[in-house]
Amino acid sequence: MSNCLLSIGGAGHRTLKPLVFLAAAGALGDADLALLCVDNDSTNGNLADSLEILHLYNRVRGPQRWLGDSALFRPKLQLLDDRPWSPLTAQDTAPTLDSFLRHDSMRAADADLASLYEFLYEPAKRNLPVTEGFRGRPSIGAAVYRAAAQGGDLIGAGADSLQRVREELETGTAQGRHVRLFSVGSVFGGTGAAGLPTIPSSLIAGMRQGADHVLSGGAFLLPYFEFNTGGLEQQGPHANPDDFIMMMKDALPYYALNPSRYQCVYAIGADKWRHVPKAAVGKAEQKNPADLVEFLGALAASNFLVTWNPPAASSNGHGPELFVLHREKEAVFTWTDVPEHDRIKPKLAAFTRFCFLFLNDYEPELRKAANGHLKATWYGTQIQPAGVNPKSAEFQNQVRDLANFCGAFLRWWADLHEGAGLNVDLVHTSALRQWPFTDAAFPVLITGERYAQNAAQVIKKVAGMPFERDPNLSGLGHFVRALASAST
Amino acid sequence: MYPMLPVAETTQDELASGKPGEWDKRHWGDLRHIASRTRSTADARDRIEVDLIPDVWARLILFSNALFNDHHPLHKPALAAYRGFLALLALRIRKHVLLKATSLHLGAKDNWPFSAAARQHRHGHGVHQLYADTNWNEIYLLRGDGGSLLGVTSPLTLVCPAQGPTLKGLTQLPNSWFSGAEFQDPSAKGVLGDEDRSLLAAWISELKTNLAKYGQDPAVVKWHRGHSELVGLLSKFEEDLGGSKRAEAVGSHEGSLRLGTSPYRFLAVAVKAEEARLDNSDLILDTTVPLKAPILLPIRVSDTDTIIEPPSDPSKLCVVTGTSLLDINIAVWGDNRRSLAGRPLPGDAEWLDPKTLFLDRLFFLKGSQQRAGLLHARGQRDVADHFSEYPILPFVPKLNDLLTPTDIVRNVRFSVEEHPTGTVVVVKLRLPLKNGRAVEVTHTYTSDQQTSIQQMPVLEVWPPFRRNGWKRYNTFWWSNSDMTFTADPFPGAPVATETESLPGAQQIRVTQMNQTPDGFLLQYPQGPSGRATMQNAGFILLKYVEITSPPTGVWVAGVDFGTSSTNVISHAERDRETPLSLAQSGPLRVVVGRDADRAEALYKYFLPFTPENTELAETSPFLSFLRMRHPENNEFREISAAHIFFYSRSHNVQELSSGRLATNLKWEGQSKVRSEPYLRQICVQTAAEAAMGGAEGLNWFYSLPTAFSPYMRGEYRKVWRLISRFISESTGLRSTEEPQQMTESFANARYFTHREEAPPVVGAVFMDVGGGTTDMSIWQDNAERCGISIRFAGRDIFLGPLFHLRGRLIKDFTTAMPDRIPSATEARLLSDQTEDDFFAHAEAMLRDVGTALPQQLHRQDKLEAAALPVRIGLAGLFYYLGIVLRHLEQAGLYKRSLGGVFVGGNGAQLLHWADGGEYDPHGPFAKVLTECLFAATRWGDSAPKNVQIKLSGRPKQEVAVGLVVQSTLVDAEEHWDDVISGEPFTVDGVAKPETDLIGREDLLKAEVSDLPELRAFFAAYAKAADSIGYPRLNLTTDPLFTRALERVRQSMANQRTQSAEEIELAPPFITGLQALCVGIAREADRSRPAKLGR
Repeated sequence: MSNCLLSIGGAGHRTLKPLVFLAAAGALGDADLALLCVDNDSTNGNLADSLEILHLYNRVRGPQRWLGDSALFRPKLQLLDDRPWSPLTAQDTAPTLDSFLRHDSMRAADADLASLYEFLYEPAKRNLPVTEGFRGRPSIGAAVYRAAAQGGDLIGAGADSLQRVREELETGTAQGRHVRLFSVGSVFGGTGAAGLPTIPSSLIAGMRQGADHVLSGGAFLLPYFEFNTGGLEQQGPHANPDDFIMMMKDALPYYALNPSRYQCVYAIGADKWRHVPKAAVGKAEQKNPADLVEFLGALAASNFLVTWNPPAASSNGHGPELFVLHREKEAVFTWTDVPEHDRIKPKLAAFTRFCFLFLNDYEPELRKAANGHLKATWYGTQIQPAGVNPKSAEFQNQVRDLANFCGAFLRWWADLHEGAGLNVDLVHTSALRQWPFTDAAFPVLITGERYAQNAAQVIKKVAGMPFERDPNLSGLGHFVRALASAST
Repeated sequence: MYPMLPVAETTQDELASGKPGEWDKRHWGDLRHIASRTRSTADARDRIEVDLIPDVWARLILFSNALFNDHHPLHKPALAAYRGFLALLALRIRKHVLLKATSLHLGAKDNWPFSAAARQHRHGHGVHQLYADTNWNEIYLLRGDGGSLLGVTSPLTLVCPAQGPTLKGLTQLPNSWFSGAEFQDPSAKGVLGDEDRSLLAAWISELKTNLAKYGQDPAVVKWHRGHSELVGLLSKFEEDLGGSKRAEAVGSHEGSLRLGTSPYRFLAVAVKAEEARLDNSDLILDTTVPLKAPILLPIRVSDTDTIIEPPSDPSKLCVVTGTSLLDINIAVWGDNRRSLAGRPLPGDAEWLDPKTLFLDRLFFLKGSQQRAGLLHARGQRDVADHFSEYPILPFVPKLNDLLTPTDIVRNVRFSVEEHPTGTVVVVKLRLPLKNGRAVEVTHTYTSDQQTSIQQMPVLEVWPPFRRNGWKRYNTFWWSNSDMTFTADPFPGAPVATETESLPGAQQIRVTQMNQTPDGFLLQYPQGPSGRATMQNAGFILLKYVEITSPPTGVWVAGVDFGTSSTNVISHAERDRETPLSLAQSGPLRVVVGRDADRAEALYKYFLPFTPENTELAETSPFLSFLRMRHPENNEFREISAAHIFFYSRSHNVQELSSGRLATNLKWEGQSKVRSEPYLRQICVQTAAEAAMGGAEGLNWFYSLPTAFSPYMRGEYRKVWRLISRFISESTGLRSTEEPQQMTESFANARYFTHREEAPPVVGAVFMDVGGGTTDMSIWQDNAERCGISIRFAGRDIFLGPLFHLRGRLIKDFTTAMPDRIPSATEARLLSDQTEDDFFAHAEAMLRDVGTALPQQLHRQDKLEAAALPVRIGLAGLFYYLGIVLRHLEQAGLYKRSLGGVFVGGNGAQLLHWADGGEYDPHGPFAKVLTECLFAATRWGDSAPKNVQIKLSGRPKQEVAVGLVVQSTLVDAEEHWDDVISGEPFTVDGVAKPETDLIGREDLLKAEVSDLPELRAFFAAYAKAADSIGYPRLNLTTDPLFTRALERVRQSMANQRTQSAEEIELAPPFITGLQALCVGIAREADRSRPAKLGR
């Protein structure tokens, strides 16, 4: 059984990245997760970045998981389609709302209906090219998504993938079990704001069975970044940060009155906004740095998928549960402020240390192993007994993928801490700025604590661990388990 | 704590509390709390965008949010639009906005993608829906004129207005209310008038009451707070409008809006349309001009060139009841003058944009026009002085339909201003309105909008005065250039317009009007090609001569219509008879061009002007010549189609041979096509002078020769009746009597008796020698014994012989008076081929030279040749007079006594020619005449001695004066049909002596076998002439008498071809005398020493 997750729009896609890291760190639970991205813009830079890490996760994890019962890289993150789902069909070369809704034909056949449509959508919106998203105008997207779900059938490019989400839900609920569907996106943009209230509800509403057993949760990302719009004027209509708050103040009451099919929603924003220096309307250029709010969105998903339980039936009728988050200090966000930090922090801290050591001390050695015999103790105790061929491409690919993943994770940490409006203080990222790392930084890597062992001690500990063969482990599996255990 | 949420307005709120590191569970409704607590960074906006609301109905939702939330950035425009749209619904019928509602169902069977996206399922849209029975899937589209969607019903706010530039169909609304893209708050000052505000407030009150009652059923109210807020919002609107002061309900179910049974139906009610009336209109033109219908003058409130004085609140200025000036959207005034901005005007009322009264260009006349007969607006003279050119009133003709000339000059103001771009002329027009206001329009003419007209035509109006009852006007326009303006008189259409094209590109247009022209509409060539394309150049107003004379009662006028010239004597009753002098009533000079052009054009082609020295004015008698613009025509309306030829040696000598002159008018045959217009002009000019002299009425007297046939007399009686009526009707100078007819001889007698102390008791002969006839009346014992008119007068005595002697004599005339008889006149006289042409030219010449010519000829010893036929002719007349006296004596009507013979008339001047240049009653020629007279009477020694033959003291005027003089003489019997034969004759074989009467019936049958009396006369004359030493006549007389007899017989034969009614009395003696005079002249010419070339 899989739970499902939809990332809708740019902010949703960026949330995927920390979500993958959480999964890698073992903070996303054990259940597999079927993922699908929703976006008109398949070239969106944020999307590509997230999908890359998702693919890397899956490579590290492998199709047949080689980490056994390790918490790391535990759930299967199944991307249902490499391409994001979009209601636009491939034939739509320059799609607009008018073309999607067949305005010309509608006007000829039903003038009154067309008049209402024209009343609700002024020409500038109707003629806005939507190939690259809905450009901060979710009412356009709402019409598109609702129309796409006409009659319960899902139409558009990649319709099969959205249908597969529905099938996942139907399959999951077939035996009377609850399946969780989590959606994440911003409510202050175009695609996310349009899709959050429409797509999950359309999916559930269109289920042939089991709709009542779908637990629907969502992360509504509230305004948290701003950018200069000067360079965007040439690119047509776009989201305008000056209007974010104004628009949000209209949107939230709407959600309050239209809960859609959600039972649990996490509202996450920021009072201090990140400044994104390079803004783009869409495509590859739209690639934002990691942000705390997206991280919190991933944590919300983790909470929903791992921790949250639906309220008792007697509580129904009061709308979805709404969760917000607080931090202790005005200027800084620390581990104290991380939700479920008792569950989350150890896993992330351990995984951080794991990545640090793997990159700094093991990966270079493992690379060398391809060229000859490696005489390191840990190699002798955790690698050689597993019977791997260090020269094999498979092994070297495992090493490389893991190293890449660890590197990405640590860079993400660094990004998260830099340039945010709010001072994030979770990891001493200064230790990560110079390569190779200084092992001396290892014990104080996680802010607010001093790890009991230094790097050498951990390495020694790994080396000293007895090799315990586990048929579920293969390749690097035994070593990774040992390092993870030693880093915890 | 610090929530991970956007910045809040305050740090102390419920959401600020929580535990860090935990997901803080909240109520779902706290999303609203998050929204409300968040500090807004956006300023208030005036544009409603559809943005973050992820719903097809976002537009309605956002509008609802903005409307009900005072702090929403879009609250102000949303509220304004909502109020503006409610006002539209309320006042739509009153403001003539046609609204239609279409119900639109978003049915499940509808497969359009948009329909599917918009359709709401089961429980409907959960957003703040006010009432349960407003269905999201049934929306009413509210359309305006042309089908434009103006708004839709909304379950959230009842109604949601459209917005943006595509919003059309509301052009009837003023900009203050509807900007073309957005509705404005009608409670703001200046948007609606007081009446509309009050009505709207009452309508809102009614809507509020209806909703409040509806909301008393909790089952139908879905969003209670919204319902309360809506009612509160309406209350505030009502309050902002000043509250509802109307006790009665103002709503009605008029119109065609059908909005179902939900609370939408409350919106279908509209304020009743008010009947459009003009009672209180503030824009009605206030004018003394009688208009067919009221004229409204709307203005553009935003146009600074058009203002209403004193300044007034446009919303308080009533166009028609229920419509203020603010309601009239300038964009849609339209072209229909009976409907303003879609509002039909009551009755026949029309509207007019006062700015359209101005021309785009300002035209100037050359020169300052100081001496022009123009009425000036304020400042117009100053501008003329500034530029040395006179600005024309730069308005379209329509202005004259609205204001009197007096009002125009009072309400137009010119000024000159110096602008950075040059000197401009500013023209302001003030149009008075009822209720004491006025519209003032300003038009500024920059230098490139000014045109200077350099070629000036002659433009005149006759008569030059404005007088109550005077309806006969003629305008005269002459130019010899294509690049000048044309001028059309106004008001009214011309009765007739005559044009002439003459050599030298001369153009003439004479227009007859039946009302006083107020001015002229000018047109000027649009390009250098001349009059092919003309443009309006404005108009000029006339300043007429003021009649300052006090009322002088009914005048009398006597008209002696002569063959050569016509005399008119007119006077007020208490005044002495004076010949008509055109000393005051000459044409009004409208514009000033070249003086020489004016003088020549007027004399040649119109009426003589009034000279500065009134003694030089044209004075009666006037030549009996008519100049015809188109001689080939058969109708000659006086002045316009034909006009009296006022001869001027300086200006119109050439016209004598233009072929356009008609002479011999008096003796025109059956038709009076020329004589009547001649007389009509004489009379209307007489009336004009009389009017200037204060006349209040005018009675007419006219004379006719007894030589006229009864038919001719009857025709002239008709003509004079028509003329009298014409004068009464067209000048206001009514006649108190029928035109009175007299014989010329009787009128002559009246003159001599009362003005020359002639003795009608002893015995007196009054002889009027005219151009064509000589009238004699013989009086004794204060009674007329005989009156005879014969066709033998000046032309026969002098001009006829002169025609035959012209080659010999005219040169002498020219030599004698070269300054008065130009060589052109000489050449013309010499070249005339017919007697009629010669007579016309000679009479014009003689009128000019007067008695000076015979005197000068006498001094130069060149008179004799011309004098001879004159002496014989005049002596023959006296001989005939002697025969008449003999007849009277034989008939017992006269005793042998004679106080004198009193000679008058134009032909009497011939006495001077006969008597050495200046007639002496005691001189030799008087003796010749006496001897011829008594030779015929055969009184022998019993003839009275010292009979005086006296020339009139007022030559030519006798008959005319006699017509009007106060006289005790009684014309007991008219002697129209009696002449004395003068020669023996036979009728039906019966011999009649020369003293017998010969009537018209006789003339049809009479035979004459010889002319013994003519021979006797010639013998008597020769003897008398010989006795006083006149040069002896060296003539062979027999052939002369033979030809004379032939002439008499021929004449009588001709007469026999006519009916008795048509026969003009021509005594055989006189016919013979006429032939004798011509014969002698021919003989004299034949015997001259040398031929003078012609």
